[in-house]
Amino acid sequence: MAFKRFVEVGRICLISYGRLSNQLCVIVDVMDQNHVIIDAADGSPVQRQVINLKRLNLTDLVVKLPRGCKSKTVHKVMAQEDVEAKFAATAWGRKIARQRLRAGLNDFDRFKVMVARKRRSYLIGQELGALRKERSGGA
Amino acid sequence: MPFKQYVIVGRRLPDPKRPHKAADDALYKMIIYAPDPIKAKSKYYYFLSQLLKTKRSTAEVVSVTEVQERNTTRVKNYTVWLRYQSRTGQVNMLKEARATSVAAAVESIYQDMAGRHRARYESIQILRVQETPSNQCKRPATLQMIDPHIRFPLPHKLQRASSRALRTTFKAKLPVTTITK
Repeated sequence: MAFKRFVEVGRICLISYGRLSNQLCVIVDVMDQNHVIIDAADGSPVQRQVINLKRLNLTDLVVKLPRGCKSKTVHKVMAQEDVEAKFAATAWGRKIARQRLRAGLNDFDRFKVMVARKRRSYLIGQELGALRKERSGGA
Repeated sequence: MPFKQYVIVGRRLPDPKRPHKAADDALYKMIIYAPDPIKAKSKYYYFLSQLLKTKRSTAEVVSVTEVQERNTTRVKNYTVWLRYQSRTGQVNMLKEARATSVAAAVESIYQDMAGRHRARYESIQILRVQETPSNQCKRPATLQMIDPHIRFPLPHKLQRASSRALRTTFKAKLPVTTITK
């Protein structure tokens, strides 16, 4: 299978390790085969820095950036391309959003989730039972 | 331990028993790359002893200043001239490194020398470090990174735990390291 994600200037990545893990960033320059320089959208906690590729996960998104461009340009392009929203719409983005939401729940919230899940199972069971009955009755 | 760039100024101590020479009035300034000021001073005394007949007890360090580099988020190409004591003799070398600061470039050169030539810190002398424009670089390893449209996949990737606390020795599942996306 051909590769789809590449280390390249403009590649949107997720940081996978440490305080900034699960933060979006973009590659602005490639230093060597193990290190790149990343930057992020305006207001992001990610500062322009050298990072090891072992600490990055590549995403499917790419933006057009000149190599080694300034933070100002990065901020502009990231806002223009609406990278955050585009990533949030992907399955990976939704998963991270869900994980963040789940992590922020308190005990009562978790209880409500449990009740809702039970309710869902109940409804599914009801529907399934009805379908089964219908099928066996018809046959 | 990250390397730092130090500017060290020192001199030979005057000796009343010895006739006063011009070298006694001179201050010697050197740029030394080392992980800490202690090791930097050690290198300084070594180089001074190559220039003058001195040792630690007959010389003094006047000042040690760490150079704070500017713009450490821009990748630069550095050319490093060095000399090292191999098992058979002295070797002069020119190496290139891509880094964001001079000190980081020198550090990577020390690592490279240890890996490729088994040369340790003590046997390496950094002669000169210079920032080189992209069109004047020579080494293929540097040139391939200079390519303006550089693009490469990561065919082998080990997913790490997102923090040290979450690291485990044993995994329930064999990790998938081949990313074909």
